[in-house]
Amino acid sequence: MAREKFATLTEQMYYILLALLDECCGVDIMEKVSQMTDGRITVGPGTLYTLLGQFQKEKIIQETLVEGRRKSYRITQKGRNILTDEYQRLKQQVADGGKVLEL
Amino acid sequence: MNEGKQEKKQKLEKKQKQEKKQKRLRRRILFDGFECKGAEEYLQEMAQKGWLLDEIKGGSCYFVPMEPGKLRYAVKVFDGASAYDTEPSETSLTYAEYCEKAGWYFVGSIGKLHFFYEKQSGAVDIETDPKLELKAVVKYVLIRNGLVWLLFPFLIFMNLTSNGFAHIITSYISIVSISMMLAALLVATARLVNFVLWLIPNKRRVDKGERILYRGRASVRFNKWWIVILLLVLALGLLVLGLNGEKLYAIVSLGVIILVLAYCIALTAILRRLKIPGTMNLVITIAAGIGLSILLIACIVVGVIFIFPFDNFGKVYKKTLSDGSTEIFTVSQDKIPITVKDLGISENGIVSNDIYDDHTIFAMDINYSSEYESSNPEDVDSVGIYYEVFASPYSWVMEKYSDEKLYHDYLDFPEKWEKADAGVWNAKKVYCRHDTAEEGSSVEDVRYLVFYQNAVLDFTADKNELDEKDITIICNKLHQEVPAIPDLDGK
Repeated sequence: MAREKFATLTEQMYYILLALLDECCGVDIMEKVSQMTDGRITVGPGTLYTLLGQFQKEKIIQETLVEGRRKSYRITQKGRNILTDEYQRLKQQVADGGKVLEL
Repeated sequence: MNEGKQEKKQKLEKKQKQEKKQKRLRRRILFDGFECKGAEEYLQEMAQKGWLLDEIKGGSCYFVPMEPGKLRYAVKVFDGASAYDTEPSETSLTYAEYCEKAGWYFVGSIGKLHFFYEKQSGAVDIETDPKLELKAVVKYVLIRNGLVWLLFPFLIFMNLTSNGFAHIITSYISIVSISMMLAALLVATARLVNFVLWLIPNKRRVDKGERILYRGRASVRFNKWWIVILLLVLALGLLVLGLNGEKLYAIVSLGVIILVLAYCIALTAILRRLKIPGTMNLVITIAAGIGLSILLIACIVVGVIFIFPFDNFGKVYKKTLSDGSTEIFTVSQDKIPITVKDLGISENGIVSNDIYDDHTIFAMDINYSSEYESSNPEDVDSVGIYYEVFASPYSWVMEKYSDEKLYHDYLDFPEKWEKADAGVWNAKKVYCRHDTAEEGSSVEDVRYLVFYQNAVLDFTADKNELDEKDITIICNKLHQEVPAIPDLDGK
């Protein structure tokens, strides 16, 4: 079910999962994503909170540390697989595009 | 020395707090999840007038003076919160912390609606995934309004189907209650249409990856008018009841409304003080609601027992039958135009005459009965006449009533009815049926449905037939009460 729901990731989901390859505090993910993409992608705090909740529910990420209201997360193996699949899909997409566009 | 300083500091802080509270302005914004932009625009207007949103308490916004200027607000539906939270829950505060990190100051929340203003210029939008945002808003609006959108059509349907047309059009209580329900349905429908008209284009926008466009100030401003319309209809309804002999009902209705409002205010205040989570609030609200309903029903039952004039039921008589058993019956002496004596049914015994009258400016519906209880212990059954007169000066009312009467009384068993001579009654059409005595009973009855231009007479008599003399007595006597029934002497 989870696999179907996150069969394709939005850009925001993709970068949030990338940010969580290393343990990271929830509130710091916004900054991390912005740095990773040179400001091209911004994740709103409301969207981030909702997505973290969904990822955790589907066991794509796991809580690693709780300090008061500050919670840290890290991607799980299942999350890694989803991220890798998405990477492969995007890579294939680029390759296919390259062939057709002859770039 | 240090303690003295601290005391002074505390006093100063207390004074500052009190001054701030005195200068506070309290406003209530009526808006739904799809009208967040309207709320934001209102708050921005207040900022330009020099009022800063300081606190959200009990569903109200409290403002404090500020240097007039531009301020960016964000009002968002947060699905993780409970609609029954009286104070921001831990989940809300965690969500708020994420938003504060992104440059937003969290002021407070009303249920799932969370209020922020920008503390750092250029703060990232709180929601950057329109699909997730739209899903949360739609869920919020449907849960908040779904019950109302389903309840009012259901209540009106129940009211219209359980009460016949004659009952509704001749009772101010029914007319007023249906009018109030229709007004509420109108408001609920208008809100539903507004929501659907907002949802369709926004669904398309989201599919294209565009941002949601919320309803603005105009929609929010209109919400106040809905409340005004409902209050006006309510006041008008109570006034109509009060002026038309239903004072007690009007007072009871007003009492119930005041009691329910007082209950809501008291419960909100108590829950706010208890500071318990939303789910617990919901449980307490439901339990208290059941308690209040029981209390209201008990009050009404006690009120009816003590206020309702039992004398109207008449005197109680006992009759000992030939088999030794006792029959108890009540006898009332209402003034009615035709009694069993007029049609020569009674001999020696007790006659009980009853009238049940309902009328409005649209129509009147009077039910009469005159029953004769024989003093002979061998006679088990009482005999009598039972008649109902419905009259209205409005042709549409008469048409609707006549159709309903025909549908329920004639068309249900058309084989039992036969057409009778309308000329004898000086009516438009007349149907008649004769029912033979039931097993073990000697009583036979005859029933006439008489349709006039502005009246319908439904007359049943426990006798074999009504002759022309009986019909003349019936029409002439009823003519005194209902002029729409012709006086046969003058025809």
